Amino acid sequence: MKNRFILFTALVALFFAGCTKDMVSEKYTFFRPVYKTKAEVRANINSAAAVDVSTPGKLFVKGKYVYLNEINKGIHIIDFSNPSSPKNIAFINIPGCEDMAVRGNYLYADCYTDLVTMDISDPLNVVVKQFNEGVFPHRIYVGGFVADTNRVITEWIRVDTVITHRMENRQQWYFATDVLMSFASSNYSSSNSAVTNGTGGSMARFGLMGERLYTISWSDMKVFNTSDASKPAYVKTIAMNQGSIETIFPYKDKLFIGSQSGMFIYNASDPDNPVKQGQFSHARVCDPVIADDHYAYVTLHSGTTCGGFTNQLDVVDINNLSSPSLVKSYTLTSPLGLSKDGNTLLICDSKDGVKVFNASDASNITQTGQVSGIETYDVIALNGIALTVAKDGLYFINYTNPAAPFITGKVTITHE
Amino acid sequence: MALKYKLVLFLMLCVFAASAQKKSTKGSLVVNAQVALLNGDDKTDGQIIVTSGYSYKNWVFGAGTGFDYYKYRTVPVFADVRKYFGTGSRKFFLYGNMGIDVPWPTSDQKRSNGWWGATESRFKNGLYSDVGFGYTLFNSKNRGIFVAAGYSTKMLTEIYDETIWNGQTSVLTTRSYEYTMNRFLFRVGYKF
Repeated sequence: MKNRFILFTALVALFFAGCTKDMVSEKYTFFRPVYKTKAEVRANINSAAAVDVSTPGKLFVKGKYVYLNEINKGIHIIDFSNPSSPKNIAFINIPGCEDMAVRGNYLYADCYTDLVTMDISDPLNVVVKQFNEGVFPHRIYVGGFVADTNRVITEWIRVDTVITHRMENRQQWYFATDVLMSFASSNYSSSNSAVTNGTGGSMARFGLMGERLYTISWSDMKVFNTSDASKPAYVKTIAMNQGSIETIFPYKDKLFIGSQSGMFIYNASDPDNPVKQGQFSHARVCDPVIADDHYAYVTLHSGTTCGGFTNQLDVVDINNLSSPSLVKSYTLTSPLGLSKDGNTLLICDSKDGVKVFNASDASNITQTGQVSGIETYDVIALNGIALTVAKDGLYFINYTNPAAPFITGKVTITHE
Repeated sequence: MALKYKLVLFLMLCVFAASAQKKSTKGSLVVNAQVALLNGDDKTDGQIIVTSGYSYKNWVFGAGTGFDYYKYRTVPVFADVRKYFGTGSRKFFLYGNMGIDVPWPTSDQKRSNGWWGATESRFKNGLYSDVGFGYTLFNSKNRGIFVAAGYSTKMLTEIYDETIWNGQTSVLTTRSYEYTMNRFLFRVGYKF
């Protein structure tokens, strides 16, 4: 009996030798980039049939067309000659596109690290005119992923996967960073030349002023000479000595720069050499900015990567550009893009919709109306019609009566 | 967590109560209190369990529960079968346990996720099994110490939410880990 027990023990020990590996079956999802060469991408930049709006980005208006960015994919062209019945008429494939501006008959857009210029005289048949290569080297992907400079990512494919591997003694702590959704923007613009510039929103990173295109990255500003609108020429890069730059708003000969820590005013009377003239600091939050002759309007919102705990409209006196001062703050829910038409101020207040204010008295701005039931990001106010990017569509809001704004038309967004 | 404590205490009370009422003429109710040293992949930990069952001839059919501290604190709840060979106070036996493993992780065994809207991982039950053999060192009343060696597997699933980059924005997804932990064990128990 004793011998049998010893034999059995030995056999069992042998049988189970190596059977103490702790294993883990890990199930997760990631998105895999699909690369193409630049030549392949450029060959495919063209007008195509209209496609559903899925992930709307920045917004630009020129004439009867709205140019709506589909983030990293291209630009929708929407004919809103009849705001009650806007028509999505075409789509321009531009991989890696997040920003744009329109001057005359030319559209400027980023294509990853390049600036592409297109003739949009016929929106249904755009023609690529020029590439300014490598002018946006900052185009890296959040999360540490750096795009291959020789290729571009044309799409991201969802991959659900399961892997089985040896279980570590203690799994490494995992901290996933949230990422701010980069949504609508575009730029307000001004022009003194015969070739007119389009109009954009308050969250733009491209801004047109006269014959210059200004673009901002996280920490610098680039100047392009667009006197020949078909061939923008890179002029220079201006270090901002400041990170977290978010938006640019040209107004007359001034550039209002929104950052997470404040608003900066650059004097661009010498258009190739804008110089910093003033600054208004605030708590660390996100802050689109617009301006008029006397005041800058800055919406501060928190709750994203911007951090902070502030959600308000700051009205800043800019009569002395070297020393802007706060006039008054107005509490809001989570304000994002804003636009001003005369004394009427419109603010996208996220889930509260679009709020319409009477801003004739900067120290006593009062709400006159509101369009509720939509979650809004950015707005461009144009002569009584507000083009508003919302979570579920591009809305056309009639605010000719600021006390009773109403939705007059919509292009639906189909989320993937 | 309190519910798991109560469940274990309840089961323990049940097995002790059953032990106190062993009146059967043909078989008897038995209780085994056991501690084990669990030797796994790269870690050694302990286990405390109590089993109780009905003994008939050389078979015992019962159930058990306790605490298993290997990598993740868990509460195994299982059916217990054992077969004794031979007669007298020194007997060889085989046993097998099969049931579920209820996770009861400590706070530092959970993952936390995200700078904003931080969430903690969640756990789901898994399978628990234990097979082995042993040798009794009972007294004349067929009670006393026994030793055993075995091979045990416990499984559990950890789930947590994470935000990932989809090329355009961040989206919320779920990541899960199905753990399978295999251990050799050496056990010492006392049969009441």
